[in-house]
Amino acid sequence: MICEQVKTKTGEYVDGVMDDISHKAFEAHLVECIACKSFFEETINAIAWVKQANDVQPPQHLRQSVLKILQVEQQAKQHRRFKPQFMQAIAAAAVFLLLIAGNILPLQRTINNFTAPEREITLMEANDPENPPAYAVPAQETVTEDSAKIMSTDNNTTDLNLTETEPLLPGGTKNAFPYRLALNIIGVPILIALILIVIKNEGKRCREQ
Amino acid sequence: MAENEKLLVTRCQKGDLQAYDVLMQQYEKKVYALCYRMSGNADDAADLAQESFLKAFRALPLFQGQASFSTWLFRIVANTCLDERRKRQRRPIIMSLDKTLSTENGEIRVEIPDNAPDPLTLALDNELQREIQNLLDRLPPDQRAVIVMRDIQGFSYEVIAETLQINLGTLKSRLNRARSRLRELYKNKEEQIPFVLRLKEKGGVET
Repeated sequence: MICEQVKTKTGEYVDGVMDDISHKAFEAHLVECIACKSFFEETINAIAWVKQANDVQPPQHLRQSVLKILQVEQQAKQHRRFKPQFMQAIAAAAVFLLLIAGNILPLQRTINNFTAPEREITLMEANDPENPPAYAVPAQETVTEDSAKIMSTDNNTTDLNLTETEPLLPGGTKNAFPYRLALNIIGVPILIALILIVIKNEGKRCREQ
Repeated sequence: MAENEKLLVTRCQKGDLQAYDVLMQQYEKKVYALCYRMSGNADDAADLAQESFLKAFRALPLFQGQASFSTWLFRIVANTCLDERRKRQRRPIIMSLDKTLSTENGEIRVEIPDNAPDPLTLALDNELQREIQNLLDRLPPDQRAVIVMRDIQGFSYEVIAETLQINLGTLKSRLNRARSRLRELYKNKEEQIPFVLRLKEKGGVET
């Protein structure tokens, strides 16, 4: 073994990981070479000196600090997991209610306005065709014959005609197809289905995170 | 890995903090010691140990059990310590002690924090311990890591190699360089330190 090898193998010798042949050659060289022996002694002295380093005690709050931070992180994660779903569910419900309130209910009222007076009159006539109750008879039917004649000759006076047909919606007629109602019946389920799909995907994404 | 430790790791992977507390209790001393020797002071060591434990818990779902938990944990600790050293080297703070700092609200005098050990540390730590740490601080971080793990904490070559993700040959040569440097520093230091702090018995190391 040469001097250079001793310098590179000192660590292995100290740690006891050197094979038997090298071990013997290393020791033999130290006996012969004063410089290498001095180098070896200095090295093991330095190692022994460092090994005197005391054990250090971790601060008492170390684990508590870690657990506290992790607990906050876990709570935040759980909060994030449910928040998007919750908010989207609220949004879906709000859209649904707005559609109902803004479109379907006015249409429904319009339909009632078209049909209710007719039905009422028919019913009353069926009950007592000779003497319909005064309160149920429409105003135009209580007018006198004279005034009726005047009104029938006056083409400009359309009030009574209007009350008979009651077209509450502009251009609306009794037999018009309720496009808006149909649109809502088709559109609302599609919209709700889309929102539910988005919520499902969002929930899946959050769970993966 | 012991069965009990495997069970604890599995529970931790499901987010059980109580199980993680038990694991931390087992390793906090060694983790803190490595951080302390790598950083050189108690405050930084506490920060590094905390950061390491946090990183480990966050990464636990990815731990597949190929290595032992302790090796995996110490790999995180070593990387955290080495990364911190690199960050500090990239951002050296240069300040003049004499000049005042000009701000919008006028001149202010810069106060440099006192990094000297606090009285408690001074009381607990003696001169020899400070000298050892001072000497370790003068080693390059990668060399310091192997010296601390091998000569102070007594880890095996295999564990150190796995922890630092280097092969045995690289570890041996790095350890050799580190010890040569340590020898030089010790030799220079020995001439300056008081006689009573030197080793009483030279060559009294176990071989």
